Amino acid sequence: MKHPLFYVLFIVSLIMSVPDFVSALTPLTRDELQIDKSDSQEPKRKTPITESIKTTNPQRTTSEKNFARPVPLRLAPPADEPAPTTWISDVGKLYIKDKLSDSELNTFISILEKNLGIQADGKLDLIKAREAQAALNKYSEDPNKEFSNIYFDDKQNLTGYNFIYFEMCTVHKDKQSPRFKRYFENGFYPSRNLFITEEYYYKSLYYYLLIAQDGLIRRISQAIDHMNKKPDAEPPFTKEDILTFDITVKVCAELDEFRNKSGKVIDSPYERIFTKEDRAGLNQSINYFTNIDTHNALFSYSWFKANLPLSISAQVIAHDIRETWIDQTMAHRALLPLMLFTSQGGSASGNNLQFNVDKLFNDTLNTLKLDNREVDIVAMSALKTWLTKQVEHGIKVEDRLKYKDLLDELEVCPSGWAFYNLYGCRKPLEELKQYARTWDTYPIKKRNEIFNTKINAIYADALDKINLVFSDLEKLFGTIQGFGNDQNSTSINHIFFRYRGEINYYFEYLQFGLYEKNISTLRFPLANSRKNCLMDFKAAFMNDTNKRINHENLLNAYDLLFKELASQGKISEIMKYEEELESFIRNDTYRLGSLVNHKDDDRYDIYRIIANSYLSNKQLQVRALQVAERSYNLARNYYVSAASSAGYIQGNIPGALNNNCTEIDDFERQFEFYQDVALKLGKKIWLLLPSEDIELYNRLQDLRNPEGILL
Amino acid sequence: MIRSTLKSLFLQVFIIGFIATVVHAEYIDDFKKHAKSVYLLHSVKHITPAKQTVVITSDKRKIMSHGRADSKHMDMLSYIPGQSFLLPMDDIKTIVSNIEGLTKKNETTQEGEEAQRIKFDMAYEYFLLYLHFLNEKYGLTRPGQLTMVDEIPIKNKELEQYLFLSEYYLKSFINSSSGSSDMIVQGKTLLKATDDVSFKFRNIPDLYLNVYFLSMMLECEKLAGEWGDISQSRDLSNLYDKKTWNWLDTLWKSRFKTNRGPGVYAPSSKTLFSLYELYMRYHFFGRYIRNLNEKDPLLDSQTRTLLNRLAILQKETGIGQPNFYEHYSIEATKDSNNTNFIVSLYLARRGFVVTRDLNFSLPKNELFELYRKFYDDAGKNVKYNIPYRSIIYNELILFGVGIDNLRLMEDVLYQYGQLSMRLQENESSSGGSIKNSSRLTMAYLLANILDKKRRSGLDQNSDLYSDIAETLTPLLVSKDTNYWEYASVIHSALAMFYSRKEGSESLAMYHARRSFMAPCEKTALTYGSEANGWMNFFKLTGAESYLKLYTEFQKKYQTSPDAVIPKEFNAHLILKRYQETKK
Repeated sequence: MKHPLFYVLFIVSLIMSVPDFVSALTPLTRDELQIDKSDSQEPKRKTPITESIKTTNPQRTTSEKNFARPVPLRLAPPADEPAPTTWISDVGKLYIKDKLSDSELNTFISILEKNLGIQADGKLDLIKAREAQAALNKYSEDPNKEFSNIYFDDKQNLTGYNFIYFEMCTVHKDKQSPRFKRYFENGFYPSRNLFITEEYYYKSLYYYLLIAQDGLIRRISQAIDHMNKKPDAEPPFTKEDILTFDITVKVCAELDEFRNKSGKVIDSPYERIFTKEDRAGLNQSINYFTNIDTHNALFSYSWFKANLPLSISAQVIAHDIRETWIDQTMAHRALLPLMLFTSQGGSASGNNLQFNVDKLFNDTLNTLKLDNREVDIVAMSALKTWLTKQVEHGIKVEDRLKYKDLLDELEVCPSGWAFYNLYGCRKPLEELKQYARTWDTYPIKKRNEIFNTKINAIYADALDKINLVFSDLEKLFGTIQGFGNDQNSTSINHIFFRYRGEINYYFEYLQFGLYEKNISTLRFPLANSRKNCLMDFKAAFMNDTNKRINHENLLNAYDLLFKELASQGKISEIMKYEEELESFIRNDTYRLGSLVNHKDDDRYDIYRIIANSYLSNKQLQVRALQVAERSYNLARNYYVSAASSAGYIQGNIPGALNNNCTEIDDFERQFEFYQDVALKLGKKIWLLLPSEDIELYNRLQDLRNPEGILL
Repeated sequence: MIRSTLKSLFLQVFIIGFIATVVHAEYIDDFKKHAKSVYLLHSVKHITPAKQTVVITSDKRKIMSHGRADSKHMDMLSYIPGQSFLLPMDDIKTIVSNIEGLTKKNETTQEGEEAQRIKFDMAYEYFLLYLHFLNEKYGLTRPGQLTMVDEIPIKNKELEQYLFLSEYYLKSFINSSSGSSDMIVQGKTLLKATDDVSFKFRNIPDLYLNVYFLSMMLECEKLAGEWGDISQSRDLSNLYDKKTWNWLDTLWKSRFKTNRGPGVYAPSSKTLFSLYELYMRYHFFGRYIRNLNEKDPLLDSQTRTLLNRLAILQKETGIGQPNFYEHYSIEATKDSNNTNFIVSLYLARRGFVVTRDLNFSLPKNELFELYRKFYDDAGKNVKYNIPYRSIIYNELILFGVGIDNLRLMEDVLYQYGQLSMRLQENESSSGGSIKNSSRLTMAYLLANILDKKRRSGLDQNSDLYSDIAETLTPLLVSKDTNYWEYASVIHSALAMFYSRKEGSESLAMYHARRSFMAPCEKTALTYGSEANGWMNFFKLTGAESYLKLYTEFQKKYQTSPDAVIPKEFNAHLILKRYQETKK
């Protein structure tokens, strides 16, 4: 018979010792308690919960180690305990009085503090609060309650009683405001899930703003003044002020959400609860504290940036983004399959349901500028959701492709800061590429002019940003050293290396174009700069060999490198890099060039440069022949695949194609090049190649010749 | 050393090619499964770059082109009616903003006529949305798509959803009359009042679309792309097709009523033509995807009526390719009024334009295979007038030769050529013109094969064709036809083949002579009665090059009996004249 009771006590005292669990477990234990009480044939049914908890309460403090000892419940209640409901009616009586004397006010406050569990340091005793909740519930349902008043009956619950506490403090705010703030910040608001979100809850929030914000704004401006005068000194902004700021922002965000939620309804609860004057003040506070600009302004002071917890602005930004999204989902109900983003922002039609995607994107992107990890999480996940939506529901396929690119980049960025800067690289990089595309069309003089006036600046801008990206990456992944080697580079996505490589490559390319033929005499050989892009492209390529762009980039970089080395006559370097290049091409995991379109394949160019450089050196002439052969074989392979896809093949032997295609041109050109190199070494081409190849070449030549026998 | 690197390079090419084909094969399967309506119905000439349509070469690189008259005829037959103005699927912005506006209206509008019109418009717009994205996904080629680098981010699920939404909005009109499947009462078509539900769409004045018309297109698309639940689509599309025809029939008849009431919808000829044309496309398409091969005389007569009316309307309005529908309505009677074959044939002929002018993201060989199936079907569906099959096979050959693929010509088309000729073997005089046409087509194919083999150097087995070349030559050089050059091309190619082969000097010389004699004979036949008619030899384009070949071989193989200067058709005069001008 005693065993069930024992367990009950065990559980109860366990809960007492871990107050955080109370809220989660109370309903269950209460039931059990009641069952248990009926089991033990206790006839006393009056306020069982309060009593039982009270009886166990002292045990917690007195005998922690003895808690396993069974204590009969019925012995517990002390005789001098006042009737539990008296305080409720006492408070009520005081509350409806027009004016309270100081002593009455003190009694009022102390009764409430005692019974609601408000402790001296402002923290909330959750047990007491729950006891009060239960007592209030019981009292309000009692038909024969001791005290009743039409203005008071709707406040007979925990939220209401907290509200009257706050209200009384607000009425006497000249003296009681510290008390209010202390309790609200430490007890009420942190455990706000205890309270019902109804009229009195929101009113309590409103009172808090009334009490707190004036002081807060004053403190902030004082601090700013102070810092403007003495930037290095500690401003008069205490930990308590930070806490107040935090809570104020949260309260504003919550009220804003409430305002938005009820704003669309006809009989808006927001308008019912707050009078017009209240609302004007509220809107002002909300706009001030939830505005990202306020936070940006604060963060421009390094002291605030260092001392304000990031969660405060994260709160604001999350709130902001969520709000935008609520609007959007309102505008585009699930019925609509496509995103109705327009570029005009819908102002022309006076229709606020349409969004300007670029503006929205850039706004969110700008929040990443804060370099705040908590903001990152919110903003980046919002961006991801959006970009995914764009990719799946964008109107134009071109846009979908564009946003897919962005999404891929976003997904590999470990931080918002990195993405922000990487995104910033896009524009300058695109400009560099644009110049590179048209570079050949300008005369040298014009090139010099453009280079000095524009390109240097663009390059510096892009380089700045990409360096920021890499410094951020280094913070997260450790120093990226020896990039280009197999180790170390794997953890960082190829996209970053590709960006940095491209920025350097196009700059180098443009610079190279300034000299043209005179490069060997005019240009001062720079130590390692030209290798930068090669290193990056190598790293990108090794990270992802399945992207065609990586193949193209790496070959481009080699092309530029060999051009420069050849112009400087550095044969030994050429040999070194040629071996490296060949190892990439032959390696089965890399197979450099395998994904490149034949038209974009730089290898002919590269082989030609290498072979020509080797030819000038007696010892290396044999190697020149080998390189020429490689270039011929490359062209032949392309030709064979072109011929077989056109159906001009019998067994393994390709036939001569009749139409114009670049594969034919390349095949002929590389054949002739091979022939030339062989001739310089005193060899005959027909001894080097099988007769089918020779015949194929002759046939193609004949087809070109208007007088050819074949026609 | 060289050998081994070559070998490894070959291996590399093979592996890369293999990977690429695996990726590609998936795409091709996807294309075949979902894109039927794109390549059979919606593929129209988009903005084609001016260069691509006509390959202008220096005339030397590519001499063989089909006779002008025939290619014109083929162009006519393979005419693709452009995008119907009834289905303006390209303007995505309008579609989307219409949907947005309608959605808003739909929520505020109560039941009633207005609400119904909105629903119909929604169904229509969503259908357009589906068509737009289907074409974006399969119909256009973007850079990067051919190399399979970028996947077009349009999911199948999305397309399915649009069709579903369109169907959802249409449902309310269809449901009310779902019990009316018993349409035929005592042999007469019962047209219930509820069947004739038409709506103005997009607020275009004087333009109505029947609910069943849209439903028919919808079910056809569903069935063709295998979107969603298609268990019912086969029957439904057929039923809606019939109802649509009833509606169109009423529209046709109301044209001739002089005293029609004020409420009767009478579209203009232009609109009616577009409605009929759009119907015809979906009707044919639907018949193909339902694969209904049963004999239905009603259907046949309906098809003929349809084509007749189209021909009449076309003459009236002058839209599109002249004589196109007239030709079809005549062709529809060719197989004892069976019209099944013309369905496949109409769809198959689209292949001409598709492979020549459009840029599909599929290699041409694959496209050929797709359309070849339709030619095959058309051939099989000719049930009574069997010789007519060779017309179809001839067209297939013309289509295939245009792709310029030697393997295709030798391995596939040659078989069809033989089949087509065999079909005509026992035909008497009545099929004479068809007989000639299939032999001429064979000659055209042969000339292409041999010429291409010669140029490309892949002529190892050219002698396989020498027998058939011999039998075709007399037909080519005759008074009525203008195809002597085929004979010359064939013989000159054979001459060069034998000259490369050891111990075949006499054959080489023989064929060189034949290739020279063809234009001589042609000249003699045409201008034989005139004095100095043989001078016209030099006016024949290209004739001189065969003369040149002959004289060269004459020098080369002086001992051969064929090297003796021939006397017939004034050949000796021509040779003499040629030698004089050269000096």
